[in-house]
Order: sequence, then C-alpha cells, then structure tokens
Amino acid sequence: MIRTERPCAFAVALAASALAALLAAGCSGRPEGGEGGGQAVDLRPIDRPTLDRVLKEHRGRVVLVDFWATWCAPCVGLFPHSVDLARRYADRGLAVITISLDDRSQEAAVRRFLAAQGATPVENFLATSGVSPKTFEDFQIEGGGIPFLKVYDRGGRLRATIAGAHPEKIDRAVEELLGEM
Amino acid sequence: MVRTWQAISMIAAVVVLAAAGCQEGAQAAGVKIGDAAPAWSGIQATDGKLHGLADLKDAKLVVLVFTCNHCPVAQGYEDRLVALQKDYQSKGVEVVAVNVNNIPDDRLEPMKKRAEEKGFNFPYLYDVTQKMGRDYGATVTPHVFVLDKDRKIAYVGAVDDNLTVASVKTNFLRDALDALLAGKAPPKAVTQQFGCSIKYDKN
Repeated sequence: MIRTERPCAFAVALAASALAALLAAGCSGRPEGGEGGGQAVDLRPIDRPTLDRVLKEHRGRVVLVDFWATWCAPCVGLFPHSVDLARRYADRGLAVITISLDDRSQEAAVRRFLAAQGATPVENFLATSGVSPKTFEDFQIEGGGIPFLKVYDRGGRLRATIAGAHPEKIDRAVEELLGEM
Repeated sequence: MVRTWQAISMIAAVVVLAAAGCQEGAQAAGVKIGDAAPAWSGIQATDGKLHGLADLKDAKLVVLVFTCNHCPVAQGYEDRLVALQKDYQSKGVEVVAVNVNNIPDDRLEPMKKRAEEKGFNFPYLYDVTQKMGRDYGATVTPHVFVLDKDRKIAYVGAVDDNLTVASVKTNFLRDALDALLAGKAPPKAVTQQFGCSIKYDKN
C-alpha cells in the first residue's frame, strides 16, 4: 500500500474547517440545545436490517457509508469531506449515508453537530444499539475502531472499506465505482 | 467567553488528533486464544518504576488493558477497571493498563495526572515503542487481553457490552475472570473490541 503525507495534511485541514464551522455555530449566541447553528437535519434510527434495506433502495447508485461518532475526533474531522462528496457527485449517482455510533442519549448532540455541518445532502442515521460490541459487530466494523467507511457499487456489492481518516483513499474508491456503468 | 475558549481549545485538540489519526500503521497479526502471552519488561509507568510481566508471577490471572488518556470510550471504562481491580485483586487477579499512543495527550506526564485524578489502583504503563500493542495486535482503546495462570491468552475483547453503564447487560470480562478462577473456560472467550483506533507510528 502506498502511503503519502498528503492525506494527513488534508485531514488536518478538514478538521480545522469542521471545527471552524462548529465554533461558528457554537458562538451564534443561541442557548445550548436550541435550534441554532444551521438547518435542521433528518436523523433516523438504524440497525443492520435497516441499513440493508436502505442499501437496496439505492441500487443503481454508488453508496458511501460513513461510520462516525461525536466522541471520535478523527471522524469529526473527516465528516465535512463526506458531505462535500455527496454534493460533488450527486449528479453522477453517489448517495452518502452517515451512521453515528453514539449512544442514543446523545441524539441532541448528534443533531447539533449535523446541523452545524450542513449535513443535508447526506442521509443521517443513529445506531440503535449504542456504543457497544453489538453495534461494531452488526455493522462489521473490523478492528472495532472508527472512522470506518464502506463503498458499495451500483449493484449493491461492498467493494471497499477504509479504516481511518484517509480522504484520498475514499475519493479513489468512490470515483472508480462511479466510473463503472 | 468561557465557551469560546473551550471551543478554541477543542479545535486545537481535534486538529492534533486528526493528524494523529492518519498514522495508523500496519498492524501485527496479534495473539489468539491459547497463544503464549508475549512478555514485556522495562516498561515505564506513571509510578516511576519499570514494569514487566515477570513481576506478576504470583498472579493467577493478568488483565492487560490497552487504554489511553484522550479517548472518550477508554475514559468511560476507567472507573470500571478501578472497580474490577478492587473486586478481584484479593482473588489473585492483577490489572495492568498500558498506553501505546504517542500523541501529546497520551504521553507520560498527562498519564500521571490522569492516574492520580482517577485513583488508578493498578499500574499505568507507557510503551513508547508501541511494541506491546503490536505484539498483542491491539487495535483500539480499550482492548482487553486476559492471561491465564500459564500465561496463555484466555480472553480477548471488550470489558462489557455497553459504554453506557445503565445499558450494560453482560460483563464479559468479569464473567471470563469468574470462569477462569473456577478452573473453567470463559463463557465467551472473544468479544468485539470497540473504541478509538490506536495511533500506530509508521514503520
């Protein structure tokens, strides 16, 4: 596997911009837990069968699934990249799904984060089984760590998994599959 | 104003972490159930002493936990590890915590502070070489390995089945220890570890 320094620099830049967005949202002067910080986003509960159903609904499109959590700093840093990909490649048939692996008690914090990120071009979900072995097992997140991303082709086949914050690897996998008709 | 500073310090922390998150290197295959436990020696710790597996020769079981300072999941399990040591030390079980991350928050001085604040009643080692992590194949914090009386691997995985205490139904690690102390096999020898990826330096 070829490794370069570039993804790291990129991830750091992304993290900085993500946090700038958070900071802007946090400084809007609205009370904590209010509606401030951006457009309200859709957030639905998800387990493995639901994910399988959602993937089936997206047949014909390339699907990127971003497993993240508010407790995972590298995930928070990578998140804007997934939103950006959804915007950039919507016309070419990319669907982006984000799945928060936070405890359900953190739903308000997850919603605030998503709103601050402007996460409207992506479909957002919150895992139903919390921060638990079951969650990582059910979604087959090998190694038990996030960020973890999966890329499915237009036929619904899992074609790539990317562990860690490596935007270049994600781009490469997505672009390759978008090129397949 | 306070909130602004909190946010700014959070930004700085996340930028550093994002940089660290890029450094996941190749992982060793690690150990499996029944393998001989890789030994360690001369590892520094928050108590100022050097630690090795040989120091624990009187322990019936050793609970080796890969953990760290910065990870919220690892932090969520600190009190549970302190309680475990309290409950099991008299039965011949010794908990050993080890951090192998080299990011700023996970270095020896912040580790000393954390160990003191949280009242760690077990040694908190810092393996700056990361060899212990690679030897065991630790991928996340927390990641638990139980060494039996013959110093073979008897349990690998998570502490229990939920980070949120109120949602815990099965205490995998305690169940494994109880079984092993009774001369039986753990009801579940391998469970899915989960948490923050260990930041391995590039080779």
